[in-house]
Amino acid sequence: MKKFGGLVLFIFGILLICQIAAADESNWGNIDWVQFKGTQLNVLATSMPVSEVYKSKIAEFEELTGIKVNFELLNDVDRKKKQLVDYASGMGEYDVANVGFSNREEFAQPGYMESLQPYLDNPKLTDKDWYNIDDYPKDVLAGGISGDKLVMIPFTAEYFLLWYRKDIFSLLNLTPPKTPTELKDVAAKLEEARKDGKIEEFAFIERTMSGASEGGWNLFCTAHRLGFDFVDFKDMISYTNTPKGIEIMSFYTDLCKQYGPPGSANWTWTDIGAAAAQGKLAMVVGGNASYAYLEDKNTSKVAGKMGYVPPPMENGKDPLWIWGWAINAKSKNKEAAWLLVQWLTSPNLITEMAPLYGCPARKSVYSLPEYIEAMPSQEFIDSQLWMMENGIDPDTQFLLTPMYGEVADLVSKEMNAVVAGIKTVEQACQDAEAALIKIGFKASVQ
Amino acid sequence: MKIRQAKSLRRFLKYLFLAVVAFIGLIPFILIVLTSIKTTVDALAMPPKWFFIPTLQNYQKLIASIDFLKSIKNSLIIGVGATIAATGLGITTSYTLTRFRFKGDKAFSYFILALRIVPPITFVIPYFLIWRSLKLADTYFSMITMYVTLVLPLLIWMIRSFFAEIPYEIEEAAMVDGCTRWQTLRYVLIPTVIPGIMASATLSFIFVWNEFMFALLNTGRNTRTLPIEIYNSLGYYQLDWAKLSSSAVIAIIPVIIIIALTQKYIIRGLTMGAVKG
Amino acid sequence: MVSSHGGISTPMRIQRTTQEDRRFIIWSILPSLFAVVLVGGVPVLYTFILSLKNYQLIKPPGVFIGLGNYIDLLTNNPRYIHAILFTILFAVGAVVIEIVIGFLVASVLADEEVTSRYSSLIRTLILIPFVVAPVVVSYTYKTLIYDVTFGYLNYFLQLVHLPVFDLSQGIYSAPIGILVMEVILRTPFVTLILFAGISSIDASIFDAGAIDGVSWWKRMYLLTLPIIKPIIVVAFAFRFMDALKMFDEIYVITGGGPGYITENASIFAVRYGFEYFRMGYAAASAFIFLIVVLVLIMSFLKWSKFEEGMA
Repeated sequence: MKKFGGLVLFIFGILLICQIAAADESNWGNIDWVQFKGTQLNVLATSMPVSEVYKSKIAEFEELTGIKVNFELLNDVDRKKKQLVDYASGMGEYDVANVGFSNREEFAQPGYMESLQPYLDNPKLTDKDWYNIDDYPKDVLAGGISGDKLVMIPFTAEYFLLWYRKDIFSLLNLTPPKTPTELKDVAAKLEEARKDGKIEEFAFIERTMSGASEGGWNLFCTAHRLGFDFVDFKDMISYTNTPKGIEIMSFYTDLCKQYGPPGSANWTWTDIGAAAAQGKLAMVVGGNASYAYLEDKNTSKVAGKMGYVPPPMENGKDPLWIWGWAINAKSKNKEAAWLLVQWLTSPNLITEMAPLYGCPARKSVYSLPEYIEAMPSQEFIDSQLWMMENGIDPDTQFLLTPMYGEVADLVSKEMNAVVAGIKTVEQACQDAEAALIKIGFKASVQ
Repeated sequence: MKIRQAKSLRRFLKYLFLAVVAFIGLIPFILIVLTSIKTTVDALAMPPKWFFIPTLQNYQKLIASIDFLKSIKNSLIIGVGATIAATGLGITTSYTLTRFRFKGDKAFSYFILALRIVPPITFVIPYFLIWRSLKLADTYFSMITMYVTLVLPLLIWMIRSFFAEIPYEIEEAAMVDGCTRWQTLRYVLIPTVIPGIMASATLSFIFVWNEFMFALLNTGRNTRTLPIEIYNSLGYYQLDWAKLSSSAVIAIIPVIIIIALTQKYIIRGLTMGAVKG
Repeated sequence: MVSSHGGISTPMRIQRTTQEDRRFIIWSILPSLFAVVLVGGVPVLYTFILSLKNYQLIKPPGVFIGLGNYIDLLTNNPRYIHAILFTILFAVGAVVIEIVIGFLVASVLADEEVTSRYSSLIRTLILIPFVVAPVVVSYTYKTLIYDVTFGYLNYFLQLVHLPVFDLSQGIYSAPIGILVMEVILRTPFVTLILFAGISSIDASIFDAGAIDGVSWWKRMYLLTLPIIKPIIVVAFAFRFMDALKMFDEIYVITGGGPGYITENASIFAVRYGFEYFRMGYAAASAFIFLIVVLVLIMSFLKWSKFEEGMA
């Protein structure tokens, strides 16, 4: 009897071990990860929290595949410059790089980004079931598609949220605004309370520093959320100097001038984030990816006091922003590069990393307990989910063109002049339209 | 009595003037050092948090980073290498341009000068292409070569102006005594102009140490220099003040050491037997 | 070290060269020539050719359009004209102030009453801000000094009930704020060079002056200044050239704003090249600027009789 029992135990043990081993293998999908052993890949990434997490984990990929990866981090402004020169020169220096949504067309239309669908469909390179590309909400994945080609795989899904101070709102019995009218109302009440000395915080701020990726982005997004675009890129028409355009420009600049802290006309993301973290702001239209900075006691005085809801919208939605991984069309190791991209955006890795950076592009992660625990509040998670399903517009027309950079820069410079007190809104809109006409746009016939 | 009092008052005023000047200049640096020993939330507090608990965690994180240490090494190699090479070339070239007149000398001088005026953006794409085609990108050789070209104008023109201070009689005297031109240059002229050479070399080194644009496009994992690491504190959403300030402080330590050492040579009256009157 | 007739030293250009001299010239110039032409000239030529095309970074290679970019810049782009004027005026203003202050400080540093140890210490200290990475100093000035909400300057101004200094409002604050910062940061460069020059002057000249009972100012004006004139001229020229290329400081603090006010030539070129992707156009703007500045510098050197002082 004993001998028999021992044998059963032994067989059971072996089966158990086989099961574990098999589970480990199928954990990474049914492809040969070591098929490109010995290759070397160069990756260029923007210096930001999620990239630092990637960098710390890259050794796992090297172990899995035998491919050596040089993961280079660079601050974003200069990462773009270097990437541009690399693409334009055709040297193929960096096999994989992260691309931001607003640069997608700039890089995709000249053919700098490799089309990824063939790699996705190749059973030797991708286990489609395991990889589960349907885990990406339709609108989020659309951010990686240019024309009809998939050119990058998203790993973050970002958009604007309204940050608001829960403690101040409950003190003054306010609810977070959902429409622009409500926003003006709430801001006025907050400002009154500040003038009365009840609170120290300033009511509201958005970015007003000039630049396409600074105030320009905020201005265009806020306008889009209110159902208006300053420019029609397809037919090259400018609506900047129309009554509606002037109205939106006024709305934006008035809010910031009246309710923003002094000196905020020069503020970039980092200044606004720092101001919020120092407890100087009651409401901010900011990104969902900044939560970590606001909730860390080492960097923020308001950890735990910040609430997050979708930003005020009316007749429009928020443009989506994604960071995605793209393969250089001139890369000499495209298939190996695809393995890397696949690994970087794999369910395994994203599940592991999501609690560390908060805004993954895969939907299933949002309901995992580790993720929920790591986030500041259920409200934050719900707002994100709501935005991903209902609040974002992947076809934001003004981003489907390489001209965005120049146009947004010109318009934002005029907006900045208004906030600086140098021009009136009417003058600014007029000048913006004149500048646009100079680069080929037509004034709208109104 | 009165003269002595007036004299020490004058002396005191001079010392005070210098101290005030130094202080005004150092204000930003003092702020940077203070920021580096505070946590970010304390560093940006306004009204200022006068009483705070200093912390060394920013430095600890930095020193533990291999990338950061490697970039210091690279910057030192490239900086010292480029400065020495450029100074050597600069001395000989500027002497010749000062003393001799030959066809194309003016054009050559102004061509060198023009290189200094051209904004860096002009060089950016060509260098990227050239070095990568030659497979010399991301090597010490290419970095040093580029930097030599960038600091050569400064060195040549500066040292020219110092040579211009010296009357020709001194060289004549040396040659009459039997020196060749090279020997005159080496044993008589250079020692006389050492203050100028040292000052120019110091400035060239500082330039290379902090140069960013060329380093951005031409360095990779092997030769990444310090400015690139410092700029990486500019995160996409948040400025990492902790990293920015602490890396800036560490970055100036090697340079300050070099400057302090060269000060010895930038002093008055090093005449070494020059001719008088 | 001064020639016997006691005036300004006038080193002489050699008129007749010997065989040995010719060999000397060639060997001393050749390496520099090589480096400068190959590593400096070739890339510049490449970019010049780029400027003759409407090369765009997102649409290479670009079509040859001759002087099209140049003509547009000069006749159709008031923003460019503003950028150039601002750059030059700013640079002149900043450098003149730096030379004046630098000369004062250098003279005191070189003064015999100041011990060489104290002088050496001060020289090292004032070089520190010059050595710190420009981007770090720029952010420090932007946020910790000038910012109305975060900055110490306005904190102290408000403490003594003085009006606030806001860089982001109005048309004068931004240029002035950046000018002050630039002067504070760069004067040490000038000081160092001028100090080296004043140091090289043999003390015996000053002794003669002191015996005759000449005042400090007169000594400065009649003796020191003329001798170190070539050095002042070169320091001015180089500071001027660097001030023209200033980029980080303005980019960080105002991004060229408010509106377009503080946009200088470098920022203009980088925006057009890397943000609007019109590299050919940006290259042309750089070359026009190069020519303008070269003409200015050459006229300056001629006016100051720099070359003649060497003849």
